[in-house]
Amino acid sequence: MVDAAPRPTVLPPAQVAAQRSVRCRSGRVMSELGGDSDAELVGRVAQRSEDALAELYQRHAAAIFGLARRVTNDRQAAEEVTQTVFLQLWSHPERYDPARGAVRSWLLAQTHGRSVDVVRAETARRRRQERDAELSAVPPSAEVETAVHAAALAEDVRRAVDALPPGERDAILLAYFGGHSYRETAQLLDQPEGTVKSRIRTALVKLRHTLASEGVTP
Amino acid sequence: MTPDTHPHDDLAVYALDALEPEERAAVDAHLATCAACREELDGYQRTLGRMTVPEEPPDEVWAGISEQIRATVAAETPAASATSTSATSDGARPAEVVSLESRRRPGWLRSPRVLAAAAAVVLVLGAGAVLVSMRGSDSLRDQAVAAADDPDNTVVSLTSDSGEVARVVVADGEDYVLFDDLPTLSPDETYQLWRTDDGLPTSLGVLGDAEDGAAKVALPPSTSAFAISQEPKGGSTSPTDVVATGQLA
Repeated sequence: MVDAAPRPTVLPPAQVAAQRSVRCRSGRVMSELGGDSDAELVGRVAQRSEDALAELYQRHAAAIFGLARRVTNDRQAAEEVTQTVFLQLWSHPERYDPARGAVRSWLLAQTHGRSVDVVRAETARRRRQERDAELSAVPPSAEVETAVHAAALAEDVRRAVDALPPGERDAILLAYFGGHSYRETAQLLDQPEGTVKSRIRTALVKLRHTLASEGVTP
Repeated sequence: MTPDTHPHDDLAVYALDALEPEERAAVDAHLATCAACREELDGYQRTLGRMTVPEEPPDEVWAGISEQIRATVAAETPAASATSTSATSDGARPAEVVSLESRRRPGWLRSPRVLAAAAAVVLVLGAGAVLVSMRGSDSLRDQAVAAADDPDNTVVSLTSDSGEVARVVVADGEDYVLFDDLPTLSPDETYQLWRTDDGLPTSLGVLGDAEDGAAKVALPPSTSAFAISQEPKGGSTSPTDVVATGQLA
């Protein structure tokens, strides 16, 4: 349990920003917490600052919701994942370890993990239904098509992903956006598990270099 | 090639949440001691962070978050957190912890039903309650029943739509879950215990398939609201299918 003084209301982030806003150089409206780093805001969340949580929400909720939507392919599930990620941050801000990297990466990793949980639970439910109804599963090739082509990507990322050899591209998209384990990915692609693992790594390293060389900052 | 003990391939797969659980645990253990791999993982995660097209969530997402924060802050005031010693429960459901879901669908508090087996196993995050599942031990059930009968201990009744199906025995470090009327699960499923006092359910550990009629758990202090869910083997980070709930009255 956390000690905290009760507060009567929590303003939506937009209102928080509007109430105490300044306009930064880019014209974006920012709250007075706008100058704080993400890590500093997490520290304030640990001190039960709802304004700090609201500011973090403003900065990262769209990326979190976008990722959750892509992985779950379900708008409502994505809303729930987004809520859960921020409520976990509120309940357990100490779980963020600055030594492990940026707040945004960490939040997105939480988001991805939760989204994958949703997908796997849904898959389990569907398998049960299919067993009951004696339906055949979706053919693997159709699932590969869906996962690979449903992935909406930013233009520069799309170019980088399209530049990968198909085997690497399919492996990373199936695992990341399809929520498949590498074993499932190997089955879907009919490739050895070790090959899929090393393809995933090769693909990630290539994407990292391509995106970095384009001067894109995270 | 010089010998290289860093799990390079597994680290990349780890970043995608695509490792099998035992491999994930091995990478976790390695990361705890290897700064180079933490840095490599950070690089992968930054790259993956670029893969997503941002999309503004609807306003009700923040509304639900602020609502639940208010609920937890209210629950943390001294009056609301006063310890209760009563041992029964009407199975009241902590609707306030799931506002968004409960408004629009039953969500994780669905009525009990059998959940499919899942091949995928996920790591259990959440509260660090240590949990021992004892297979094939007749005495575990006996110990748990004895603990439940001890007047010094607190027993929380967990109910489903059909009445009491399980009990949580709060016995000062020797805590148990008694499966009174929950079906034994298939080998690829497990029950999981949750604390629902806070804004969202926190795992108190996986309970196994109920075959032994009881499971030993270690409950954190001042837990008063519980739920048992049915999960794929290995458990989940949030409840999939809640089969029973209960709290200290």
